[in-house]
Amino acid sequence: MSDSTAELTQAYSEYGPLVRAYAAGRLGNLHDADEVLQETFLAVAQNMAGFRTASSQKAWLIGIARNILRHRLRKLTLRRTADLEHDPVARSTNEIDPRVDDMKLAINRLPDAQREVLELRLKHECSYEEIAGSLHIPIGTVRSRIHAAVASLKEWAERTKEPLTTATRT
Amino acid sequence: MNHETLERLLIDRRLGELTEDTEALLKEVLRLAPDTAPIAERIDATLELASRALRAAKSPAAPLPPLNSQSLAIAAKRPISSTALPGRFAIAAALILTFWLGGRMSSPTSISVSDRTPQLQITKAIDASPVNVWSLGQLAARSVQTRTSDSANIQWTSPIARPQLGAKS
Repeated sequence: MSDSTAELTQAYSEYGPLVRAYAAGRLGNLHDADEVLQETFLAVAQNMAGFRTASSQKAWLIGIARNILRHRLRKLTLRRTADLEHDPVARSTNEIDPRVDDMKLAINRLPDAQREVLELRLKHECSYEEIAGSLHIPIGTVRSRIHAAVASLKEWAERTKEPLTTATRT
Repeated sequence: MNHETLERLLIDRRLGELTEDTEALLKEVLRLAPDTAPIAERIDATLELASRALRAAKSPAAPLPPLNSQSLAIAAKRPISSTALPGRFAIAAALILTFWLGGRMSSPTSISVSDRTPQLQITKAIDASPVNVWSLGQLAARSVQTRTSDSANIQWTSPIARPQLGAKS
Protein backbone atom coordinates (compact mmCIF):
# COMPACT_ATOMS: atom_id res chain seq x y z
CA MET A 1 0.00 0.00 0.00
CA SER A 2 1.46 3.38 -1.02
CA ASP A 3 1.68 6.30 1.37
CA SER A 4 -1.10 8.11 -0.45
CA THR A 5 -3.37 5.09 -0.28
CA ALA A 6 -2.69 4.69 3.42
CA GLU A 7 -3.36 8.38 3.96
CA LEU A 8 -6.62 8.19 2.03
CA THR A 9 -7.74 5.13 3.97
CA GLN A 10 -6.89 6.86 7.22
CA ALA A 11 -8.83 9.97 6.17
CA TYR A 12 -11.78 7.79 5.18
CA SER A 13 -11.95 6.03 8.52
CA GLU A 14 -11.50 9.31 10.39
CA TYR A 15 -13.83 11.59 8.46
CA GLY A 16 -16.03 9.12 6.53
CA PRO A 17 -18.68 8.90 9.26
CA LEU A 18 -18.85 12.69 9.46
CA VAL A 19 -19.26 13.12 5.70
CA ARG A 20 -21.83 10.33 5.58
CA ALA A 21 -23.86 11.76 8.45
CA TYR A 22 -23.74 15.21 6.88
CA ALA A 23 -24.89 13.88 3.50
CA ALA A 24 -27.57 11.72 5.10
CA GLY A 25 -28.86 14.71 7.01
CA ARG A 26 -29.07 16.78 3.85
CA LEU A 27 -30.44 14.10 1.51
CA GLY A 28 -32.61 12.20 3.91
CA ASN A 29 -31.56 8.71 2.84
CA LEU A 30 -28.53 6.57 3.43
CA HIS A 31 -28.21 5.15 -0.07
CA ASP A 32 -27.66 8.55 -1.69
CA ALA A 33 -25.53 9.61 1.28
CA ASP A 34 -23.18 6.67 0.63
CA GLU A 35 -22.84 7.71 -3.00
CA VAL A 36 -21.96 11.24 -1.94
CA LEU A 37 -19.48 9.79 0.54
CA GLN A 38 -17.70 7.82 -2.21
CA GLU A 39 -17.71 10.76 -4.60
CA THR A 40 -16.25 12.97 -1.90
CA PHE A 41 -13.36 10.62 -1.25
CA LEU A 42 -12.84 10.14 -4.97
CA ALA A 43 -12.36 13.92 -5.12
CA VAL A 44 -9.94 13.67 -2.21
CA ALA A 45 -7.95 10.97 -4.02
CA GLN A 46 -7.71 13.26 -7.02
CA ASN A 47 -6.50 16.16 -4.92
CA MET A 48 -4.50 14.78 -2.03
CA ALA A 49 -2.36 17.90 -1.98
CA GLY A 50 -5.42 20.04 -1.32
CA PHE A 51 -6.48 17.74 1.48
CA ARG A 52 -3.02 17.80 3.09
CA THR A 53 -2.64 21.55 2.94
CA ALA A 54 -6.20 22.43 4.04
CA SER A 55 -6.22 24.54 7.18
CA SER A 56 -9.10 22.40 8.44
CA GLN A 57 -9.44 19.01 6.76
CA LYS A 58 -12.87 18.59 8.29
CA ALA A 59 -14.09 21.87 6.80
CA TRP A 60 -12.43 21.06 3.47
CA LEU A 61 -14.21 17.71 3.26
CA ILE A 62 -17.57 19.17 4.21
CA GLY A 63 -17.06 21.80 1.53
CA ILE A 64 -16.44 19.12 -1.11
CA ALA A 65 -19.36 17.00 0.07
CA ARG A 66 -21.58 20.05 -0.04
CA ASN A 67 -20.61 20.82 -3.64
CA ILE A 68 -21.30 17.23 -4.66
CA LEU A 69 -24.64 17.34 -2.87
CA ARG A 70 -25.64 20.53 -4.62
CA HIS A 71 -24.62 19.14 -7.97
CA ARG A 72 -26.56 15.95 -7.40
CA LEU A 73 -29.64 17.76 -6.21
CA ARG A 74 -29.56 20.01 -9.23
CA LYS A 75 -28.89 17.20 -11.68
CA LEU A 76 -31.37 14.71 -10.38
CA THR A 77 -33.86 17.34 -9.20
CA LEU A 78 -34.22 15.39 -6.04
CA ARG A 79 -36.49 16.92 -3.54
CA ARG A 80 -34.80 17.29 -0.21
CA THR A 81 -36.63 15.34 2.40
CA ALA A 82 -37.57 18.12 4.66
CA ASP A 83 -39.54 16.12 7.15
CA LEU A 84 -37.34 13.94 9.30
CA GLU A 85 -40.38 11.85 10.18
CA HIS A 86 -39.90 10.21 6.80
CA ASP A 87 -36.16 9.99 7.17
CA PRO A 88 -34.81 6.50 7.82
CA VAL A 89 -31.75 8.04 9.41
CA ALA A 90 -33.74 10.11 11.79
CA ARG A 91 -36.19 7.37 12.62
CA SER A 92 -33.65 5.82 14.94
CA THR A 93 -34.46 8.64 17.25
CA ASN A 94 -35.21 9.47 20.71
CA GLU A 95 -38.19 7.75 22.11
CA ILE A 96 -37.67 9.10 25.62
CA ASP A 97 -38.46 12.78 25.20
CA PRO A 98 -41.23 13.68 22.75
CA ARG A 99 -40.00 17.28 22.86
CA VAL A 100 -36.91 16.20 20.98
CA ASP A 101 -39.01 15.01 18.06
CA ASP A 102 -40.97 18.25 18.18
CA MET A 103 -37.72 20.16 18.10
CA LYS A 104 -36.70 18.22 14.99
CA LEU A 105 -39.78 19.42 13.24
CA ALA A 106 -39.06 22.96 14.36
CA ILE A 107 -35.51 22.68 13.01
CA ASN A 108 -36.85 21.40 9.71
CA ARG A 109 -39.02 24.48 9.40
CA LEU A 110 -35.99 26.75 9.59
CA PRO A 111 -34.70 28.29 6.35
CA ASP A 112 -32.24 25.94 4.69
CA ALA A 113 -29.26 28.25 5.21
CA GLN A 114 -29.95 28.50 8.93
CA ARG A 115 -30.59 24.80 9.36
CA GLU A 116 -27.35 23.94 7.57
CA VAL A 117 -25.14 26.02 9.85
CA LEU A 118 -27.01 24.82 12.92
CA GLU A 119 -26.47 21.19 11.91
CA LEU A 120 -22.80 21.78 11.23
CA ARG A 121 -22.36 23.41 14.62
CA LEU A 122 -24.51 21.24 16.86
CA LYS A 123 -24.47 17.91 15.08
CA HIS A 124 -21.05 17.82 13.45
CA GLU A 125 -19.36 20.04 16.02
CA CYS A 126 -17.72 22.36 13.52
CA SER A 127 -16.54 25.72 14.82
CA TYR A 128 -17.84 28.95 13.30
CA GLU A 129 -14.53 29.26 11.48
CA GLU A 130 -14.77 25.74 10.05
CA ILE A 131 -18.33 26.34 8.92
CA ALA A 132 -17.29 29.57 7.23
CA GLY A 133 -14.50 27.68 5.47
CA SER A 134 -16.81 24.86 4.37
CA LEU A 135 -19.56 27.06 3.04
CA HIS A 136 -17.29 29.81 1.70
CA ILE A 137 -19.12 32.51 3.62
CA PRO A 138 -17.87 35.12 6.10
CA ILE A 139 -17.73 34.09 9.74
CA GLY A 140 -20.12 36.95 10.56
CA THR A 141 -22.71 35.34 8.31
CA VAL A 142 -22.30 32.03 10.12
CA ARG A 143 -22.76 33.82 13.43
CA SER A 144 -25.87 35.70 12.31
CA ARG A 145 -27.46 32.57 10.81
CA ILE A 146 -26.91 30.66 14.04
CA HIS A 147 -28.31 33.54 16.08
CA ALA A 148 -31.38 33.73 13.85
CA ALA A 149 -31.91 29.96 13.99
CA VAL A 150 -31.64 29.80 17.78
CA ALA A 151 -33.91 32.82 18.17
CA SER A 152 -36.55 31.10 16.01
CA LEU A 153 -36.26 27.86 17.94
CA LYS A 154 -36.47 29.67 21.25
CA GLU A 155 -39.55 31.50 20.05
CA TRP A 156 -41.06 28.20 18.98
CA ALA A 157 -40.27 26.68 22.37
CA GLU A 158 -41.83 29.61 24.19
CA ARG A 159 -45.00 29.26 22.16
CA THR A 160 -45.46 25.67 23.23
CA LYS A 161 -47.40 24.97 26.38
CA GLU A 162 -44.84 23.08 28.40
CA PRO A 163 -41.94 25.20 29.66
CA LEU A 164 -38.84 24.27 27.73
CA THR A 165 -36.57 24.18 30.75
CA THR A 166 -38.84 21.64 32.46
CA ALA A 167 -38.90 19.42 29.39
CA THR A 168 -35.17 19.28 28.99
CA ARG A 169 -34.61 18.45 32.61
CA THR A 170 -36.82 15.34 32.51
CA MET B 1 -26.81 46.14 26.59
CA ASN B 2 -30.05 45.45 24.78
CA HIS B 3 -31.93 42.18 24.89
CA GLU B 4 -30.98 41.09 21.38
CA THR B 5 -27.26 41.64 21.91
CA LEU B 6 -27.42 39.79 25.20
CA GLU B 7 -29.09 36.82 23.51
CA ARG B 8 -26.45 36.72 20.80
CA LEU B 9 -23.67 36.77 23.32
CA LEU B 10 -25.36 34.03 25.33
CA ILE B 11 -25.65 31.85 22.23
CA ASP B 12 -21.98 32.38 21.37
CA ARG B 13 -20.97 31.65 24.94
CA ARG B 14 -22.97 28.42 25.00
CA LEU B 15 -21.32 27.36 21.74
CA GLY B 16 -17.85 28.26 22.98
CA GLU B 17 -17.33 31.01 20.42
CA LEU B 18 -16.65 33.95 22.73
CA THR B 19 -13.19 35.27 23.45
CA GLU B 20 -12.03 35.08 27.06
CA ASP B 21 -12.35 38.84 27.52
CA THR B 22 -15.88 38.96 26.16
CA GLU B 23 -16.87 35.99 28.23
CA ALA B 24 -15.52 37.64 31.38
CA LEU B 25 -17.45 40.82 30.59
CA LEU B 26 -20.62 38.87 29.93
CA LYS B 27 -20.21 37.02 33.19
CA GLU B 28 -19.96 40.35 34.98
CA VAL B 29 -23.09 41.65 33.22
CA LEU B 30 -25.02 38.56 34.24
CA ARG B 31 -23.80 38.92 37.81
CA LEU B 32 -24.85 42.56 38.01
CA ALA B 33 -28.24 41.94 36.38
CA PRO B 34 -29.79 38.86 37.96
CA ASP B 35 -32.97 39.37 35.94
CA THR B 36 -31.05 38.17 32.86
CA ALA B 37 -30.63 34.70 34.31
CA PRO B 38 -33.92 33.33 32.89
CA ILE B 39 -32.87 34.51 29.41
CA ALA B 40 -29.61 32.62 29.70
CA GLU B 41 -31.46 29.58 30.97
CA ARG B 42 -33.86 29.60 28.04
CA ILE B 43 -31.03 29.95 25.51
CA ASP B 44 -29.15 27.07 27.10
CA ALA B 45 -32.27 24.92 27.17
CA THR B 46 -33.07 25.67 23.52
CA LEU B 47 -29.56 24.80 22.38
CA GLU B 48 -29.52 21.67 24.51
CA LEU B 49 -32.76 20.42 23.03
CA ALA B 50 -31.69 21.33 19.48
CA SER B 51 -28.41 19.45 19.99
CA ARG B 52 -30.25 16.39 21.21
CA ALA B 53 -32.67 16.56 18.29
CA LEU B 54 -29.88 16.82 15.76
CA ARG B 55 -27.60 14.27 17.36
CA ALA B 56 -30.38 11.73 17.67
CA ALA B 57 -29.82 10.97 14.01
CA LYS B 58 -26.07 11.31 14.11
CA SER B 59 -24.93 7.74 13.60
CA PRO B 60 -26.56 5.79 10.79
CA ALA B 61 -27.04 2.20 11.88
CA ALA B 62 -25.38 0.66 8.83
CA PRO B 63 -21.59 0.34 8.98
CA LEU B 64 -19.45 2.56 6.79
CA PRO B 65 -19.12 0.99 3.32
CA PRO B 66 -15.61 0.14 2.11
CA LEU B 67 -13.75 2.85 0.28
CA ASN B 68 -14.28 2.82 -3.46
CA SER B 69 -11.50 0.92 -5.25
CA GLN B 70 -11.36 3.65 -7.90
CA SER B 71 -10.37 6.17 -5.22
CA LEU B 72 -7.70 3.82 -3.92
CA ALA B 73 -6.34 3.27 -7.43
CA ILE B 74 -6.12 7.01 -8.06
CA ALA B 75 -4.40 7.60 -4.74
CA ALA B 76 -1.94 4.78 -5.47
CA LYS B 77 -0.96 6.47 -8.75
CA ARG B 78 -0.14 9.70 -6.96
CA PRO B 79 2.93 9.30 -4.83
CA ILE B 80 3.31 11.77 -1.99
CA SER B 81 6.48 13.28 -3.45
CA SER B 82 4.72 14.47 -6.58
CA THR B 83 1.73 15.94 -4.82
CA ALA B 84 3.12 17.11 -1.53
CA LEU B 85 4.84 20.19 -2.94
CA PRO B 86 2.72 23.06 -1.76
CA GLY B 87 1.61 25.55 -4.35
CA ARG B 88 3.37 28.44 -2.66
CA PHE B 89 6.78 26.81 -3.18
CA ALA B 90 6.03 26.44 -6.87
CA ILE B 91 5.06 30.12 -7.03
CA ALA B 92 8.24 31.12 -5.19
CA ALA B 93 10.34 29.06 -7.60
CA ALA B 94 8.63 30.70 -10.58
CA LEU B 95 9.31 34.18 -9.14
CA ILE B 96 12.98 33.39 -8.55
CA LEU B 97 13.32 32.09 -12.08
CA THR B 98 11.62 35.20 -13.45
CA PHE B 99 13.98 37.55 -11.60
CA TRP B 100 16.99 35.50 -12.60
CA LEU B 101 16.00 35.67 -16.25
CA GLY B 102 15.25 39.37 -15.87
CA GLY B 103 18.74 39.94 -14.45
CA ARG B 104 20.34 38.14 -17.33
CA MET B 105 18.45 40.25 -19.84
CA SER B 106 19.16 43.57 -18.13
CA SER B 107 22.41 44.49 -19.97
CA PRO B 108 22.18 48.06 -21.29
CA THR B 109 20.82 48.40 -24.78
CA SER B 110 21.50 51.46 -26.83
CA ILE B 111 18.96 52.70 -29.28
CA SER B 112 19.94 55.49 -31.53
CA VAL B 113 16.83 57.53 -32.04
CA SER B 114 18.16 59.37 -35.03
CA ASP B 115 18.84 56.11 -36.82
CA ARG B 116 15.69 54.25 -35.88
CA THR B 117 12.95 56.86 -36.31
CA PRO B 118 11.33 56.61 -39.76
CA GLN B 119 10.30 60.27 -39.69
CA LEU B 120 13.91 61.34 -39.40
CA GLN B 121 14.93 59.16 -42.26
CA ILE B 122 12.28 60.92 -44.36
CA THR B 123 13.51 64.27 -43.09
CA LYS B 124 17.03 63.46 -44.15
CA ALA B 125 15.76 62.48 -47.53
CA ILE B 126 13.90 65.80 -47.89
CA ASP B 127 16.91 67.80 -46.72
CA ALA B 128 19.11 65.98 -49.16
CA SER B 129 16.76 66.63 -52.05
CA PRO B 130 17.70 69.47 -54.38
CA VAL B 131 14.22 71.03 -54.16
CA ASN B 132 13.90 72.40 -50.66
CA VAL B 133 10.14 72.73 -50.67
CA TRP B 134 8.55 74.26 -47.64
CA SER B 135 5.84 72.05 -46.22
CA LEU B 136 4.13 71.23 -42.94
CA GLY B 137 5.64 67.77 -43.04
CA GLN B 138 9.07 69.26 -43.40
CA LEU B 139 8.47 71.63 -40.49
CA ALA B 140 7.30 68.74 -38.35
CA ALA B 141 10.24 66.68 -39.37
CA ARG B 142 12.59 69.52 -38.57
CA SER B 143 11.10 69.97 -35.14
CA VAL B 144 11.57 66.28 -34.43
CA GLN B 145 15.05 66.46 -35.74
CA THR B 146 15.80 69.48 -33.55
CA ARG B 147 14.52 67.68 -30.51
CA THR B 148 16.28 64.43 -31.15
CA SER B 149 19.52 65.66 -32.53
CA ASP B 150 20.65 66.55 -29.01
CA SER B 151 19.20 63.52 -27.34
CA ALA B 152 21.57 60.98 -28.74
CA ASN B 153 21.22 57.48 -27.22
CA ILE B 154 18.61 56.12 -24.90
CA GLN B 155 19.93 53.74 -22.25
CA TRP B 156 17.36 51.06 -21.62
CA THR B 157 18.72 48.94 -18.83
CA SER B 158 15.65 46.85 -18.07
CA PRO B 159 12.22 46.28 -19.60
CA ILE B 160 10.63 47.48 -16.37
CA ALA B 161 12.92 50.47 -15.73
CA ARG B 162 12.49 53.99 -17.06
CA PRO B 163 14.76 54.68 -20.09
CA GLN B 164 17.72 56.99 -19.39
CA LEU B 165 19.53 59.36 -21.72
CA GLY B 166 23.06 58.27 -22.35
CA ALA B 167 26.05 59.85 -23.98
CA LYS B 168 25.62 61.67 -27.26
CA SER B 169 26.35 59.61 -30.28
